[in-house]
Amino acid sequence: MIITDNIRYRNGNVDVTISSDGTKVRQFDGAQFVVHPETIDVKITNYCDAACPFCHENSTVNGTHCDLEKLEKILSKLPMGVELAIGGGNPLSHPELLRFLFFCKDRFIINLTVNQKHLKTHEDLLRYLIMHKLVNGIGISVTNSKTIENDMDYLFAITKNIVFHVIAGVHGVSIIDELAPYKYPILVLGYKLWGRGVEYSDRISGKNHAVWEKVKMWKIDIPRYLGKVHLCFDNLAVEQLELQKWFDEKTWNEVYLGEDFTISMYIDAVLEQFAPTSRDPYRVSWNKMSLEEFFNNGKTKEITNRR
Amino acid sequence: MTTQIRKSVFETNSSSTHSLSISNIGGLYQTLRHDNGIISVPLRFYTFGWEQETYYDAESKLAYMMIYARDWANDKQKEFFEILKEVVEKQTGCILLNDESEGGYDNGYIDHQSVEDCDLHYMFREPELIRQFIFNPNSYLETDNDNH
Repeated sequence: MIITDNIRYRNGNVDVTISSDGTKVRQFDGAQFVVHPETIDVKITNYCDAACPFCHENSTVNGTHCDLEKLEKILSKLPMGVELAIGGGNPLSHPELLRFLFFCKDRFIINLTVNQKHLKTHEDLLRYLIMHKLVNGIGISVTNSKTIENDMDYLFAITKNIVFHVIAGVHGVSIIDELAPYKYPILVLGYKLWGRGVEYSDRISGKNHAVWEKVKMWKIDIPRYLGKVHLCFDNLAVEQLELQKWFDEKTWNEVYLGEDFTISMYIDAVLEQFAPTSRDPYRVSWNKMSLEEFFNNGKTKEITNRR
Repeated sequence: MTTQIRKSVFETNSSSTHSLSISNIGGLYQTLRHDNGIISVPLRFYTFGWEQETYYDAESKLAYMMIYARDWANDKQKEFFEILKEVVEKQTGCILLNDESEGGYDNGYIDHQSVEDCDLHYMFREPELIRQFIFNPNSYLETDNDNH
């Protein structure tokens, strides 16, 4: 679904508006209650040839693709306007991707996360997806800030809805200075001790470029950029970088969209599982319950288990 | 009514969600300059006399608190500095160095009456007040005198 005018829907007692540049406004009285997820992170393949040593999804060239027809059935009951963040592995490598996106086109707001290493190798496909309005936002996992101009020149020319993804701990905080001149939002992700992220963190600790040393510098220097560069953060980064202390209460309540699994969830379509997030060990087979049941009942169960 | 805003960005996160998207907003706290994780405030450059001045910047406000702490003796001085150090380090992640200089007009000072009257002792009993004072951009220090 390509947004030309604002999209509006009501989720429980929350009025949601999404505009063509991705701005999302949520309004509610009292405590919010929602009946369906508003954003779903969907992993459609575990195949990837980028071999990032910190990949928390553990994706490799031996990874398999999900059955997208099954996924379509799982998603089919969701109301219009839900945002899907499609990723992998390398989602562009899925042979059925195009057909799947046509299925989604009139139902969901489709966003795609792509590794910078795949921008040139999949240029034709990406051009097609954007020109045929099959995706809205494109997240680029930055691997080399020095080749961005060369890797992304065609993307810059055909879409404005680009977000750079960086990982605090893999990248140093100076990556912000390198990316800021492009004037696109930068999404800062927390460092995930999950998948290959565990080994990577162990392996390089003790060296100058140790993950946690970099995270420490992010914590120190991030306030210099707040309000000056368009930055976004996932909840893990919010926690690891202790961001809340840099906001007054009113501003925080306005810009913070809430904890994971409040309005979001994760689907590992390769393993056919639902989870609160990609790094959550609490997972349920999608054969055991519907997406709606997982989102509404699973939340209670997950919270109970953690307590 | 609660309003939440995700500004000018689609949900592309392949691992969890954007929980925060900010650009050009107010409501942000100030930070302090540091050198490789060390904050050092040269107190000799700060003289808080009886002139009418208003200070909003974090370093001036911290300098005021440090001079206030320094102007007490022995245990009290140490206790106050440790509280300041903890507040600053917790907020910034940096180490705050003590200015070892003796008091006096050449090394930065606060007009004596403000110190002698223990005006700020209450803040050291509630470190959150110190944090708000130093880092909140709406908090300010005003110096003045009673000659008008």
